Amino acid sequence: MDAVLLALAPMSILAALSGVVLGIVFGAIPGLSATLGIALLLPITFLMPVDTSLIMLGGVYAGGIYGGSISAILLNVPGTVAAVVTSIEGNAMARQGQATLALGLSATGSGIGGLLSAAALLFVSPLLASWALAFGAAEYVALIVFSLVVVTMMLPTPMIGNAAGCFVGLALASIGVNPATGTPRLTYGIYELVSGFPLLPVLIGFFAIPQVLALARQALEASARSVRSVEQGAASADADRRSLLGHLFESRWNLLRSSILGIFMGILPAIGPSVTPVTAYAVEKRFARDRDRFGKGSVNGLLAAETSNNANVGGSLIPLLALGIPGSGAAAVFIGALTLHGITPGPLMFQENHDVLMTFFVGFFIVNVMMMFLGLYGAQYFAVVLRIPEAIIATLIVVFAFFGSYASGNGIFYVWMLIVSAAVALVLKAARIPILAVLMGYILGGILEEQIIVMLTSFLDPWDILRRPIAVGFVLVTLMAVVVLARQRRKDAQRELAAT
Amino acid sequence: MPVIRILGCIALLVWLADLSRRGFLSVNARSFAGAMYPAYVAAIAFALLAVHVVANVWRRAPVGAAADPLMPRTTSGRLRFMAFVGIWLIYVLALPEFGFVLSTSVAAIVSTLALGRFHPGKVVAATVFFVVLLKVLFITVFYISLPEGVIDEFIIELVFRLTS
Repeated sequence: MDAVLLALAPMSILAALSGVVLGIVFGAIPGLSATLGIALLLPITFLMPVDTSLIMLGGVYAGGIYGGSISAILLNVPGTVAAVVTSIEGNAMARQGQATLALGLSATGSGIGGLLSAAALLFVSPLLASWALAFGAAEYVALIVFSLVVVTMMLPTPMIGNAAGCFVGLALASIGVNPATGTPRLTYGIYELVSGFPLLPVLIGFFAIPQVLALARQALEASARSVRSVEQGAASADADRRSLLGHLFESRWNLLRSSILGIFMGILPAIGPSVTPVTAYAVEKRFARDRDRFGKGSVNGLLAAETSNNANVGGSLIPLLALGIPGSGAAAVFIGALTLHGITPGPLMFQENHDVLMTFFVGFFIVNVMMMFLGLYGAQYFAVVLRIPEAIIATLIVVFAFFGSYASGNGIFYVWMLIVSAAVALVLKAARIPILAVLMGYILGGILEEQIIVMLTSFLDPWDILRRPIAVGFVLVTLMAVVVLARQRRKDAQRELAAT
Repeated sequence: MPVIRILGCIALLVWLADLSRRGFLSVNARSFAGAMYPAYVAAIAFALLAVHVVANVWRRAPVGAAADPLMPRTTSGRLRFMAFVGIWLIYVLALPEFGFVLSTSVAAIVSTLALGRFHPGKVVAATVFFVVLLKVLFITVFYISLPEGVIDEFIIELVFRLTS
């Protein structure tokens, strides 16, 4: 009850509203993303109560994933990668004069997916956390190895590059204090590195600066966005809205299927909201009666994509909060907010910060309701942000990135760390190594090393692991995942080869 | 640009090799279980990255010449792009010397004018207004401390006089 009251307090409502609005703006502008929005807003949350800041960042995350659909429908330019399918179906509907219906379906589908994922977050994460309380060092090591293997196998880039990314991240995380002796190591004599490679500048450097450089290039190549189509979309027939409820009722099983799929894919590490809509779309194409409409403005196709990507948001927060393992890039950035407030995500968080989590869970419901209504009644107004020139957006992001990094440690050293991280991100991008793999290794590296030391110290015999059934279970699941995913990758590669 | 990117990959490999060497040579290595963890991790990262880069070069995949180019294609575009990157690098050096308001205003004005074709007067007015507003918000709402120069000190004093 206290959690409900706290989540309904004016400050929490304001945080939810501002988070959703900022998230939709970030999502709607092509080139910006929910992950970038969360990374840039982290320093601002420093002085907020932790529950309020989590609600705000939850709003940015959910709003950012939904916001991508606005430019996808109106301009055929996906605001985020998660809106690629939406740009096919939604824009086809807009071109047939059903822009308002497409925007409405996108908002309600996202809202329903988000609300179901909020319910999953509320009920599943405490269960997972209570189960994880029985974990010892061996279980944690096996779980983290499983997560890194899934990241390596699931990302679409070459597998060896993905594995290299994970290990580069683990190497970055080993800089700082030796967890066993408490002495500094690998710091190159730089005092500030004793506490490790600073998280916030790394997050901002990885996500903001490469994006800023891409925006700067776009600005200079003068790829002006068509404002005319925004106006056309906003002015399209309002009568579409009346048929919205009918469409939603007809697609009720699609909404449920796509939500469950989105939540499940969110729980798996590395499968963020960018991959989920493509899978949900493919699944729905098999079930739908109107499968011949797919690709030509299908209501079911649009709903599957939009419902699943927002269901993925809550799903990706489940392993983060219950186990300390992020389910997506944006969820990984979420760790920054918890770290700023001295909270370590994981099963103990449910005992030590129970009220904070419950307030956040209730707040996450509010966030999704707000997002749905803001999308239903204000999508055309958000489309106005598409008129802001890239030159101004790029400059604003650099200002916030630099001040955020400075404020994170109150020193110019942290701004230099931002530049170093950005340079590393650009090199990795050029080498086709996914940043998400590096980030997962970097975030999980600290816990992995600590648990390996504890495990090696407590195990007198290597066969002692057989006395830990959960750890053995994780090892078997990891081996199964390797076999299944390797087969899948080979099939995909053969299909691609046949297509060419 | 491809040369710079390949040099970046080599720099990353050299760093990982050095990290591994330092890990193996550290004073208390082998003194407790798991002490060699950083050395092994860096060595595996080095090996995987080296194999990945060589495999990509072998397959002529876009290592060093990414599908998405970093710089614009035209010469004037490249010059403006370099001005944009350059001003923000200078900004990091200027920030502790001249404070937040002056450094940020100058950098943001140059950055906006380098990337777009806007009326200079409007850019200057809007930027200065925005930066001063940010500074006031940082002092009064967010309590975020930023480097202070003469103008920052003046604004802080003014805000405190007006609010006290």
